Amino acid sequence: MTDKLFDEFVKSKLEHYDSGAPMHVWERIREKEKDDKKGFFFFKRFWLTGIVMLTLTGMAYLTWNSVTKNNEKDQQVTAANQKIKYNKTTSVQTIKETNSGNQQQQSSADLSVAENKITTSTGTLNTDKSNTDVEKNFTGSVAAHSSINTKQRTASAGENAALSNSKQKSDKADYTISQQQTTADQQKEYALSFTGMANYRNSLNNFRLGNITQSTNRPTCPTVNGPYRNDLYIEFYGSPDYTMRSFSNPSSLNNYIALRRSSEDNRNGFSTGIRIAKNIGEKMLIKAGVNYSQINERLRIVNEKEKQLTQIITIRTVIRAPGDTLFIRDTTYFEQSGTRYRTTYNRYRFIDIPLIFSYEFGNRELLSFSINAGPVFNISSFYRGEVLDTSLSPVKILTAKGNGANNWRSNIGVGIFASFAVYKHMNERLQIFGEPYLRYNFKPVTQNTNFVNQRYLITGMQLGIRYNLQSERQR
Amino acid sequence: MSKQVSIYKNNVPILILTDHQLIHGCIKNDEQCQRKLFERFAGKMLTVCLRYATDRMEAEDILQDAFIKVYRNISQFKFEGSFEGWVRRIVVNTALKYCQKKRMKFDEVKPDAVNVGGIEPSAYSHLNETELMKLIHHLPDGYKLVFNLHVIEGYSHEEIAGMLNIKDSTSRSQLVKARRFLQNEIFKLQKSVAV
Repeated sequence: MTDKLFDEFVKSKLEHYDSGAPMHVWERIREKEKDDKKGFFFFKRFWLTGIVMLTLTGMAYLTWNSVTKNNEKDQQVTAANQKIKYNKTTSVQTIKETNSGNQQQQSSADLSVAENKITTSTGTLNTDKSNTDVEKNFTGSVAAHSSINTKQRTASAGENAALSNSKQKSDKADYTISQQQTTADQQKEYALSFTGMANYRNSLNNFRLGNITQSTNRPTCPTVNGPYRNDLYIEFYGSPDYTMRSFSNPSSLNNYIALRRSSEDNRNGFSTGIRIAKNIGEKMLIKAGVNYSQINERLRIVNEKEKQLTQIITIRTVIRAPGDTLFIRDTTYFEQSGTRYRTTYNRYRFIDIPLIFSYEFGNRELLSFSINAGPVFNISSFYRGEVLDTSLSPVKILTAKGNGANNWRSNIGVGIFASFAVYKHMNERLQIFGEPYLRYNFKPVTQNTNFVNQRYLITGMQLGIRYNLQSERQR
Repeated sequence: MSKQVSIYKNNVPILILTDHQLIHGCIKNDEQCQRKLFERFAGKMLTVCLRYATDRMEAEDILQDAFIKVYRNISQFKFEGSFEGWVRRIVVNTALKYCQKKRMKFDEVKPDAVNVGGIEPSAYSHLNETELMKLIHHLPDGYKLVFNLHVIEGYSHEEIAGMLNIKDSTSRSQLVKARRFLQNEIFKLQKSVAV
């Protein structure tokens, strides 16, 4: 026999051999496709998720950067306004006019109000409303001044009731204008004052463009503690988790591990928790709390040699004569062999206390970021489900000592946690955050004496809210 | 590509599809078409998977992954050549990935286990597919891979070397040994039947 003949024989027999379509696999494919659609974002496309996270982080950084630049621009505009204010004050004060008409008095009064408002508003410029008032007043005063002629006029501006500031009240401008100057001088001064006012109006327009938000306009007040803040936060969060399992085992158990891998599916998990965060410096925080996490897995076992034995008992009654009844009992056994599919949903639960050190940066009133890391102390671990033992039979997971594949730890000790968080500030106390994280436990979930060591690396995206327990005054 | 598939509703055929229409249906994510495609090829592809896998469970996992890949990438099929061949290539590649995960070793089998001697075609002509599958299943991993890829899938030694990251010569020697191993097993089987 030649090798070629043998090869052709094998090929002809097996190339198109049909083992029968396993329709339960079709169901699994459908299920998996649905799962993939559901968990597209966080679970199944980790690279994509990574790219999205990087993009979001980049965007957040750019936003923060542009906000910082805007703040710088604000400061420049404020400085320009102050310059204008001084120019304006000088130019207006040089107009020594005597105004006898009511209208003129009013306009002078307006002018004084405007002057006072400028003094206050350039300091803070809190609202658009005050800016508009200032602008209106200037418009009025310009109109009034344009009608001034060369006649001598004396005007005494009355008290300005609109002034709320007591200091301003005490300095009520009594514009007694003595007109002793020539028309040419006045026109020159008006021209100067118009230039100043025009500049001022431009700067006001800049403020009204809406490119400066209220929060960025607000000056950062130093806290009672100086740069050391006194923030105390409470954080609530939840996270969809993606778990990666690793085995360390002797090479003799490679086949067993391969079977474990093929029989157990990762069904992902979740975690949720609450923690307190306290400032321990200007930018450092310490966080501690309680974290509950759950890992879900599915064990599928196919037993191709499943045998089912059915006992059939048939009882017949034969009445041979009155009083002579015969009971006939037939016992037969019916054995059925086939493939049995068994599915168990495993749940591994952990309660931990994380102790996290956090470095926070960014704009505290808009968008801030933090880099977090620290140990995680396991308090309790408990499990429900089944795993295959080395004889490939399913056994229940126990939290016990010993060297069975089913003996798992009730405490997995210390782990490590690392994350990067982005905080969006909703109001002075409330923030929402997104925090991609990674957690790894050094100890395996299985006992040390076991044949294989099974460990988990958990990644996820914590989403939650953070509430500052300290009011602005207490910080 | 001339085969036709019927879609049934309450056991009544409501639509008869050609392969072409079936593929187009799958491209549009039509579940009925996907199911029909699965029904048509899953049996044959399961045989492929069983030849590479260690057990039926793993074979079904490979089949599942391979069909998911087929559905996701079916739009890349150019309608050039056999569609079955295209599906088979995906299945074989998926099976190879599973094998690579297990870090398969191309071990040498003990010389006494290999009885190099020819056997007559009459000795194996009575073998059916199931028996052949069992014999192949008992081959050592390295032998099994090379034998399957070369003899049944028709890949050359150069291609196998590239796929498995081994030398051409290793592929050749593994094939020779696999053949001898199988023939030896058939010989043993023949002897036991004769007794």
